[in-house]
Amino acid sequence: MYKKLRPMDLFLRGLIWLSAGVTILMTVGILAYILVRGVPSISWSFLTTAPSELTGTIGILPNIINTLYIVLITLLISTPIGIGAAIYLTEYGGKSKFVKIIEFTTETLAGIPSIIYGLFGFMFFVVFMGLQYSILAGGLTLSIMVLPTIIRTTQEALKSVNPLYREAALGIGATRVHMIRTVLLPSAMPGIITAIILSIGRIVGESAALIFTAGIGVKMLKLTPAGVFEHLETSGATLTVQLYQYAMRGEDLGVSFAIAAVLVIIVLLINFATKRLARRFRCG
Amino acid sequence: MRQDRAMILELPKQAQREEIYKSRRNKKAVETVFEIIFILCALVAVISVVIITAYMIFSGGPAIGKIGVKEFLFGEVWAPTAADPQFGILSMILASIYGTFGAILLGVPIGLLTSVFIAEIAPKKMRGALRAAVELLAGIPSVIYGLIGMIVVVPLVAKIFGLALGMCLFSAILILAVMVLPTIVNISETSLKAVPRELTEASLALGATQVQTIFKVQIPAARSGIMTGVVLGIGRAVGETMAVIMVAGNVVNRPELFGSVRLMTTGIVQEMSYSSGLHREALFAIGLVLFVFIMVLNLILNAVLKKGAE
Amino acid sequence: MENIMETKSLHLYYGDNQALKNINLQMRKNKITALIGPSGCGKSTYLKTLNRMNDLIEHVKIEGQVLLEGQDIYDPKVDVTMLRKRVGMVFQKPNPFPMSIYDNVAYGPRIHGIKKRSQLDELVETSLRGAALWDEVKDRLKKSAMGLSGGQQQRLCIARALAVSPQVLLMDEPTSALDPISTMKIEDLMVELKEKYTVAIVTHNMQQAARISDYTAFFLVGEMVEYADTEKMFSMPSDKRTEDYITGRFG
Repeated sequence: MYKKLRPMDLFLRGLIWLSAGVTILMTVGILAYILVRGVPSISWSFLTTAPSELTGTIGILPNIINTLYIVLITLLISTPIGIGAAIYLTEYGGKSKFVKIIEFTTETLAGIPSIIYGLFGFMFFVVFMGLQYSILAGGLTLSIMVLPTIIRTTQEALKSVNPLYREAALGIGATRVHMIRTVLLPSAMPGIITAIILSIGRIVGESAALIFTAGIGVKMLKLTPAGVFEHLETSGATLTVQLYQYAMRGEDLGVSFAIAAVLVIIVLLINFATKRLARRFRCG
Repeated sequence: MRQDRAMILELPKQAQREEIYKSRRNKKAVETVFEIIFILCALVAVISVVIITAYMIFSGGPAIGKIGVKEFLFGEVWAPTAADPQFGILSMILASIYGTFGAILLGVPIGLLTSVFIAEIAPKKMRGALRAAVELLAGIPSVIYGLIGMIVVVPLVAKIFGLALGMCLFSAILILAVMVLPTIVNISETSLKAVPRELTEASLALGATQVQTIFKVQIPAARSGIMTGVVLGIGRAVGETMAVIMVAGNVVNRPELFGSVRLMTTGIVQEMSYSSGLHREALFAIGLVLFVFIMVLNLILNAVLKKGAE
Repeated sequence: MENIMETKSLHLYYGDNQALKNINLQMRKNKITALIGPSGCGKSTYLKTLNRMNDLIEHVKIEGQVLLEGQDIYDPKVDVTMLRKRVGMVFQKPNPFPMSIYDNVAYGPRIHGIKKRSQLDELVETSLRGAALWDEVKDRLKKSAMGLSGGQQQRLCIARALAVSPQVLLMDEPTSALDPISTMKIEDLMVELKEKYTVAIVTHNMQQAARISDYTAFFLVGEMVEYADTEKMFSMPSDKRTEDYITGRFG
C-alpha cells in the first residue's frame, strides 16, 4: 500500500505545468517587452503634438483624438441599443422563437471577423451612404461590431439581479418600465459599465475594421464649435492603425513601440477596471 | 339623510376611480411604447446580420460569376493586374486553412492543459492571477501581436531554421496559436469546472490518481465545452488579419511551412487600397468566401452547443 | 471474530469545528456495519475517513488512527490510491461516468493497469453478476450507462466498485435516491456481498439498518454513542439517547 512512482502521472503533470508556464511567461513577456521598448520613447510632446514635417518630430495627438472620437461615437450608438436589446431579451422575450433568432444573430455578429466588418463598412457606410473615409463611418461600423459584447454582458447582469427585487417592485404596483428604471438598471449598473469598458477595449484594439472605414488620415482637430463636428467627416487613423502604418513602413520602429506601449497601458487599465467592477458586483 | 351621505361619499370615489382608469391608460401607453423601443433595439442585431449577409453576397457574388466558380476557388494563379488578369485564390484558401490548422494544433493542447492547471492543479491563490493573465492575453490588440511577431518571432524563426526571410507560414502559425489561446483556455476552464463533482469523486474513490481522473473522466466529460472553444478558436484564427499580415510575408505562393504566404484576410487588405474594377470585386469575393467559412463555423458551433445541451 | 478495520481515538476538525470526537470502532470482517444517526451527526464524515475521501476537502485535520488490517492508513507513506482500491465506495446519488456500461465497470481495472481484453471482459462480467445486474445489461454493454434506470445505475456503481476487488465497501446512503423496489434489490445484494466483502453503510432508514446489518453504530453530534450487535441495539439499547432515537422520539 506504500507510495510508488508513476512515470505517466509525473509526465502529464509536467506537461500541465509546462503549458501553464508557457502561457504565463508569454503573457508577461509580451507585456514587458512592449513596455520596456516603448515607454522610454513616450514623452509629453509625443502625446500632445501632431507629426510635423518642419521639425521632423512625431506626435500621436491626432491619433489619440481620433481614437477617442471613435470610442465615443461607437458607444453613443451601441450602448443604448445594446441595453435595450438586452432588456427585451431578459424581461420581455421569454423563451420565444423570436428571442432564439435574436440570440443566434447576436452570436453570429460576435463571430464575424473584423476584416469582414471593414469590408461591409466600406461598402455600406463609406460608399453607399457616401460618408467617405471618415471617423463617422468607422464609428458606425464598430457600433455593429461591439453590439454583441454589450448585449451579452448586459444580459448577464440583468439575469443576475435577484428576482425577488423584481417581484417586490411589481407587487407594489409598479409598472414594468418603472421597475426596469428604478430597480433593474441600477442593480445591473456595474455589469453595464463592465460591458462599456469591455467595448472600449475592443474599439481601442481594433484595426482591420477601421482601415477601410475611418481611413488613415492624421488631420488635427480644429477647436471651434463647427470644427468639433467637422472632425467626424474627416478621415482619421486610430492608434492601432497608426502603429500598423509605422511598423509596415519599417522605419520609426521606436514610434511603433511607443504607441504599442500606450495601447498596452490602456489594456492594463481596462483589465484592472473590469476586475474591480467584477469584485464590487459580487459583493453588491 | 342617509342617501345624501351616500351620494357625497360616492362622488369622490367616482372621481378617484376615473383617475385610476386614466392613469392606467397612460401607463399602458408608456408600457407599450417602451416595449416597442426594446423590440426595435433587439431587432438591430437581426437586421445587421441580414444586411451584412446581403452586402457580402451582392458585392462578392458578381465577381465569382464573371471569373467562374471553378477558376476562382481552384485557380492557382493570382495575377489581378496582368494584361490577361487571372483570379485564382486556391493558394490563399489553403494558406488560411493551413495557418488555422497549425494554430489549433499548437494552441489547443497548450490551452487545454493551461485550463486544467487553472481549474484543478494550481494553488487557490494562484488561480486569480492566472485568469487575469489569460484575460490580458485576450485584450492585447492584433497589431501588437503583429509587431512582436515582426520584431521578435520572425528573426528568431529565420535564425533557428536558417531561413533568409523569417516571414512565413510558420511564423504566422506561432502568432495565431498565441492569439487563440485565451479563447480555448477560458471556455475549457468553464466547462471543466462544470463537470459534476460526483464524477470526480467516483473516479478518485476507485483509486484513480488526480491526473488519471483529469484525463480519463474530467476532460471527456467536458469535451463538448472544449469543442466549443476549439470552434471559436478556429473562427478567431481564420478571421485574423492585422497580426498575420505583419509576419506572413504576403506573397501568393502555394503554402509551404517556411515559405512566404498570403491568406484570404491579408489578401484583401494588401490590395484594397489600389484595386479597381474586377480586381476590387474579386477582393470582395474573397471576403464572401471568408464570410461563408465563418457562417459554416457558426452553424457547426450551434450544432455542438445543441449536442452539449442534450 | 476478526476485525478488518479499526478506528482508534479519531478526532476530525473542519477548520475550528470539531466534527468527530474520539471515535473508537472495530469493524468485523465479512459483516455489515450500519452507521445511523440524525443528519449532521458525523456518520458520513466518519465513513469518508475510512478511505480518505476527506482529503479532498480543504482545512480538514485528523487526529488518531485508522487501521486497515493493522496498518495505519493515515501514515504519510501510504499511497491513497492503493488504499482506495482496497476500500471502495458507493455514493448517495448514482454517479456512473458518461460512458458505456462496459467502460464504467472496466474503468477501475484499467487505471490499475489491466489492459488485456479477455481479462477485462471476465472482470466486467463477474462484477456485473456480483452486482446482480448482468442479466439486465449483458446485451447492451456498449450502450451508455446514462440510459439505465436509477436503481440500475446504482447497481452499476456497485459493480464498478467491485471490479477493483476491494476488501471493504463503504456505502453512503446508497438507496436514499431510489424507489422501494430498487432499494429492496440493493438490500438483498448487500446481504449477498458480505460473503466476500466487508460492508459499512450509512443510512437514515432505521428499518434498513435493522433488516440488513449485523452491527450498528449510533452517532450523535460527532460522537459515537453506542456500538453493538444490531439485534441488541434495536431490542435493548444501553444508552437512553439511542433508545430515544430508534423509538422515533427525535431525528
